[in-house]
Amino acid sequence: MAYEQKNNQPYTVRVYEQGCKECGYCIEVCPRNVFVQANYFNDKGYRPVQVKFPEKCIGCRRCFFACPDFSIDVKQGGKDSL
Amino acid sequence: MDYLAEKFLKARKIPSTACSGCGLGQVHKKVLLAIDDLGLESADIVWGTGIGCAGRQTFNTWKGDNFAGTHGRVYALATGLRLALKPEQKMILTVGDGDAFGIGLLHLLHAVRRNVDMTVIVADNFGYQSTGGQYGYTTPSGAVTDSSPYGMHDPNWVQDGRDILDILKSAGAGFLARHTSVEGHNAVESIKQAIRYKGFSLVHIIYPCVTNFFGKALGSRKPVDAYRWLKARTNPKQQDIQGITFTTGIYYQSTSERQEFSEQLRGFTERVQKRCQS
Ligand code: SF4
Ligand code: SF4
Ligand code: SF4
Repeated sequence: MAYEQKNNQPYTVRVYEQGCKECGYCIEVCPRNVFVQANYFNDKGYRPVQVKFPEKCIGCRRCFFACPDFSIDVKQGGKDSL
Repeated sequence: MDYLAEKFLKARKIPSTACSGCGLGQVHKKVLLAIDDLGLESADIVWGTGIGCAGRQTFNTWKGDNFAGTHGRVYALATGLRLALKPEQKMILTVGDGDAFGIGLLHLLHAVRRNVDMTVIVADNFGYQSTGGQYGYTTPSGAVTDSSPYGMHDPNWVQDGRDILDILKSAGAGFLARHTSVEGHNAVESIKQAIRYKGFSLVHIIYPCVTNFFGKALGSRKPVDAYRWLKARTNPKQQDIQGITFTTGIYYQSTSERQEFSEQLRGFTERVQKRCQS
């Protein structure tokens, strides 16, 4: 299932599901446990990461730096900022 | 794909065919971040690639002009190309450790000797990983690989008092830095300085090959295990760490300007032409 992003959260984190290769680096480096792994597969056969708790994000961009597959964006502001 | 890939990379190349957790994408992203920070556009840079995983995964991904040279030849091609390009156009090369520090080392040294304006990003995965994980020139001492089942016995370029960057410095390189792919802004800053440098610059970036190197050396293909291994050995503050460790940051920055190759050659041919006309 997809998790909802809101407009009153300080940062918006987005995972591009089809590019995610399930490496788990974002889960490893996130200090606020924003991510969880999905229980379904993407078109390449990986279980992508999902942004479960977007409101917890502090905008440190560790996940952005760690993602080797250009699959995460972190932007300041609510969901409309993406 | 994220905003960086969308801005600079060809859509059909992303996601890449690299293994899950391969650190090459982290290297690639840092180079793009540096380019973006410097305000450069696709047309400002010509991108060259070598062979192996580093060459293959970055090959022809750049939206602007690309060129490739296999088995260590890309530095020689870049030297020729430098004469054809406008001086303000940048050249960035993404190559592997085998390409730069082994099979292509002589070509690399000659590009350094001539001070050819280019930025070489050596994405180092500790050996020949695209062919199944044979040891190379930076494989950590004692590491079990496909071709060193009893542990890496061959002296490498980065331990026991040897440092390949030292050789490049002696040969005349003006800007040298070392980082690992698990680093952030500090690595991007070094890459920015390298790109800005007029003359030969090189940034050596160690990244995890999850499938072949760590699969054998650590006995685990779990990306997070490789990530933690490299993180524990990434050493920007020069702490006392047991075993192999990577001191990161700027390694050398020259204070005196040495004339760049294409400038020197253009000036020289102009002088010769004048002499012949008079
Ligand atoms: S920016 Fe930082 S806090 Fe936010 S999701 Fe990424 S790692 Fe977690
Ligand atoms: S770091 Fe990127 S590729 Fe890896 S699990 Fe997270 S989103 Fe997916
Ligand atoms: S073999 Fe190693 S270096 Fe090559 S793509 Fe896979 S993880 Fe990356």
